[in-house]
Amino acid sequence: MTSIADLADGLAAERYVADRGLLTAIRLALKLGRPLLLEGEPGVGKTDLARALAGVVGRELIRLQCYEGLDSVHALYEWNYPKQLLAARAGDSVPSHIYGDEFLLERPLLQTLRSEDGAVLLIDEIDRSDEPFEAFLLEFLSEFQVTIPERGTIEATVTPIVVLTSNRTRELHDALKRRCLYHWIDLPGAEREREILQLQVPGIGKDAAAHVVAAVRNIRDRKLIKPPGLAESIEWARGAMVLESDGEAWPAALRRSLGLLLKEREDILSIEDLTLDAV
Amino acid sequence: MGEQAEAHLHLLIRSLRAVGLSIPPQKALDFLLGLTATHLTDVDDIYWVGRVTLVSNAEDIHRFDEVFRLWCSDTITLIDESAIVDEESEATTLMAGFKDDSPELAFDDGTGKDASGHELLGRRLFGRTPRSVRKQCSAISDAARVAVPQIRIRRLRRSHRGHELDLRRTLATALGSDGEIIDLCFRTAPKRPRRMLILIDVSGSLKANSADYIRFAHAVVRGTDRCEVFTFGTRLTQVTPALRNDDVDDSLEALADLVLDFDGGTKIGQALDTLLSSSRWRTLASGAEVIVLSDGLETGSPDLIRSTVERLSRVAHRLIWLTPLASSEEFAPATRAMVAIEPFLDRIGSSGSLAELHAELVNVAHLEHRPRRRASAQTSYRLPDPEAVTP
Repeated sequence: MTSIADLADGLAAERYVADRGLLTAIRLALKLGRPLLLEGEPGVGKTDLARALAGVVGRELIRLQCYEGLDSVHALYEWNYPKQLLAARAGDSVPSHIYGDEFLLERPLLQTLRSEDGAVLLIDEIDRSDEPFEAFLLEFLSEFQVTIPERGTIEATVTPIVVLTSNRTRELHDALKRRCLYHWIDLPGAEREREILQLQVPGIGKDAAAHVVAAVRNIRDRKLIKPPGLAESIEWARGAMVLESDGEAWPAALRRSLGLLLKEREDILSIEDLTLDAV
Repeated sequence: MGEQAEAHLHLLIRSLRAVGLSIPPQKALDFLLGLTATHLTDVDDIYWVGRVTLVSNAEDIHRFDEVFRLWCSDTITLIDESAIVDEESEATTLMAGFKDDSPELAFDDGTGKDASGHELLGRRLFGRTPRSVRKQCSAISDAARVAVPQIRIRRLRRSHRGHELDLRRTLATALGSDGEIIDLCFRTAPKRPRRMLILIDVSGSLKANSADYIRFAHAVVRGTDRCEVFTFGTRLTQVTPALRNDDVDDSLEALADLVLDFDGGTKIGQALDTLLSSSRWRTLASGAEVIVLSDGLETGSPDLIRSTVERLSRVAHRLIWLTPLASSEEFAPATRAMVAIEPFLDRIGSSGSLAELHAELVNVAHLEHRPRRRASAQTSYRLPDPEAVTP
């Protein structure tokens, strides 16, 4: 990947539209070998970027979904205890034997480090994990290595590309941020959002896409409990396309698939006055 | 990179530090490496490389933008660099430079940190907290440690009396006996206090109670480590950082401006709406014990307060409304706003004094075992003083 323009083309081929800021961030992450921390409102395409990026660089995508209580057993590795026990009973209890590779169950982080051709690691919604897990990630993110007590330090065969996402439900630790490049993804402008819809929703025409974007932007301007993100507007357009192909008229199809855009009853009620007539 | 260009880049980094961005050397180095690694076509390239490498907080983006704008227009270089002695004077010079240029550059997001500058002036607007009140506060801290209900954490710890088999440890011990399992090791899910959220009304009608409310919040924050506090009047402010002072008077001082300078009606509905509209703040309320300290005298229409309290009640684990009016024997929730929100509350209690607040805090533990939203069925708005009951 030589330049920002190539990167943009590559991502577009993966049906991902990135603006200049994001492109710069990705390019630097690749060039400097640093993890990329993406923040933004839910549904602006943080997670999807990792998928697209893996496609562009031709590496496998390994995903680690964070949650409260996530620990090294689920993130890094686990021993195959029954197998170890059987081996030990068969008289093979020399530690170096029963801590061999065949007894090691790889979890996402270890999988990433041992991936032969390198991998794109997505650490999704890091804000959902707890602080001890963040601290645990520090060694991994700065050196791309982990330490397993029984085995010693394991280093990456190929420097992985790491993407972290956060919805900012809590502040991340400075030590973690210091190791990452940071980019805040904003919702796209009208023109770019239409471009994204056309890439993401098969068969949608330019006018129909513009119509959806105009309606979504109108809805976002209202005071809603949960304003729709980009992911929701894509889902909405997809849903409406399905209904339309079943013979429904376009405005009615949009109206009937509103449940894909808004997920709160109050929100759906509050936009009842909105006319969704075709452009 | 030319020497002059490098000096100019360092000026950007120094200026950013001067306005409060935290840029460790590692990030500064990334910035320079990033620039050399990028084919620079125009100033936008420098902007994005800088933003991606030097900023690590969404809040800092607008500061970065502002400094970058000035840096590009060479306004910053006008400062006589030889005059810069240390970081602090650098900051002052820069800030002075900003004020002419960009009045909208108000950095404070109202965390209360900034307000602590009053300590320097040495004024004590609330007066010293008397020894007897301090004693009461520490009793409240102690009560908070036990009264806030506990929830289980999913990260398991080793325990002799746990219920979940610790395979790893069991196996490690079994290896010592040739794979024969002699002892089983267990793990357990430890507990921690539930999240707590205290919302303090600082409107004019509650001036007499404000100091006690802040003392109460300070004591609870000291007692349990998962408590967040907001004040609301015309606007909502997160004040937890200011309450983390060791001394209660320092916290009072830090919030004095916020509390004393405010006069006028409350917009409770609007404040709660702001809280619930931000996904970050809503998280603080989710699954939390929420205590609202307010008289519920809403100036606006009761529709908004009704819908926001309903939402808050759904997000929270328990929602408790404490009003100083309930100190009186004749109290009944009769105002339009209180009638509107009563169906969504788990308890309406009194907050006329620290002792009453203390009693309500102790009562949080009892609410845990009762059905939800039963404020309308409660018989008493006042609880016995816990200090008087416990020996």
